[in-house]
Amino acid sequence: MDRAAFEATYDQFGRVVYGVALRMLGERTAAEDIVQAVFLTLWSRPDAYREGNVGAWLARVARNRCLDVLRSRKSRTEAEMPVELVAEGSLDEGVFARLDGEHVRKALATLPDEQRVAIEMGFFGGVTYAEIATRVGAPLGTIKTRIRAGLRRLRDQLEGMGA
Amino acid sequence: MNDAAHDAMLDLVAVYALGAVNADEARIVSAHIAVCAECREEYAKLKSSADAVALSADNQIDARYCPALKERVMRSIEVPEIATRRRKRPAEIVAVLALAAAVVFGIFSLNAERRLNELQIAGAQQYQVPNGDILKNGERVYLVMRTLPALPSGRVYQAWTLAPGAKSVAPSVTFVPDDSGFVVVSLPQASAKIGAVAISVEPAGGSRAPTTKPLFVQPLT
Repeated sequence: MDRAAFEATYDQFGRVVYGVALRMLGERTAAEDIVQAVFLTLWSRPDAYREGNVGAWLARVARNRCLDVLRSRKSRTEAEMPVELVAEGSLDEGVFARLDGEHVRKALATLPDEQRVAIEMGFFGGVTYAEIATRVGAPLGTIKTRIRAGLRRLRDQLEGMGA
Repeated sequence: MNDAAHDAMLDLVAVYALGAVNADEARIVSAHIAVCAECREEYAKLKSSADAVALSADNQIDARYCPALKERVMRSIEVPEIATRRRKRPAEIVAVLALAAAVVFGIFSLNAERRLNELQIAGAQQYQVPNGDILKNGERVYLVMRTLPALPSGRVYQAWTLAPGAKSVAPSVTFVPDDSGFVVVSLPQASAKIGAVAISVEPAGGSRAPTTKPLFVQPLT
């Protein structure tokens, strides 16, 4: 990756990476550190990103870096997002490229509250579904079902918007 | 695996796609989707939904910070080129320092070449420490670490400074060396306010006080 391509990638996805970090860590300085670390990873180890949507990969790396920070802040149950696995059959690249934050926020808003809350707690809160179950006072199986149903519905909504 | 158990696994696959399972469950799901086509397909579908959730956070940025943050990131991508240099002679170390300071902290208004000349003329006090050197030049203090051990995930090195006459150390920058253990760090504190420097291993994000025994404590006399 040359400098121009790197800069274009930053221009396209820097805002998302920063947003994920700020939402997870709640501190501007810490979020900026994450942004720098994530893009340095892309620059110094471009082989780490192999295929699929680079924005999604950057967001996953950012989330994992944030989980490291959250774990260091206090002892907590470890949540783990797979970074390396290739998402076969993921949203069409063109569809993903046409999506933006507003699309996703609108799609999330169509979910029943209990599904949206479970998804957002799991993604941005960096907690496991067991912790979500404890926090909202619901059985483990219920939380798993809410997350699955929510992600399926979210996919349907996004495909409709991107088509 | 019967139907009920497999349906439960499909629910867990969704949670795995979101990244909200613990490490043990992640290993179980990962092994299962490697051999189960139905779960692998479900994972792929829901993983893209989970990825898209990240996009919903793109309204968090403060527009005033966009240019400064981009500038910081673009400057920082020069650092790995510097960090790949090895065991420089003194004059070359100064070159590394000049460039590192210019790109890492942007503290010099002069260009790197002119700064390099100044540093070469002025020279620098050198203190040998385990795994590297500390150099004091004018108002700046630099750590030139060459053989720092690799750290586990979630751990960073953190510098500490002890002000002259102070009884406790103050936190300074955190950093991670490259794969060979090399890194150049410019401390943000002025040299006049640094009576000693220490390094310890800390959780990512740094600590307010050392949580592990320092690798060294070096007085700067």
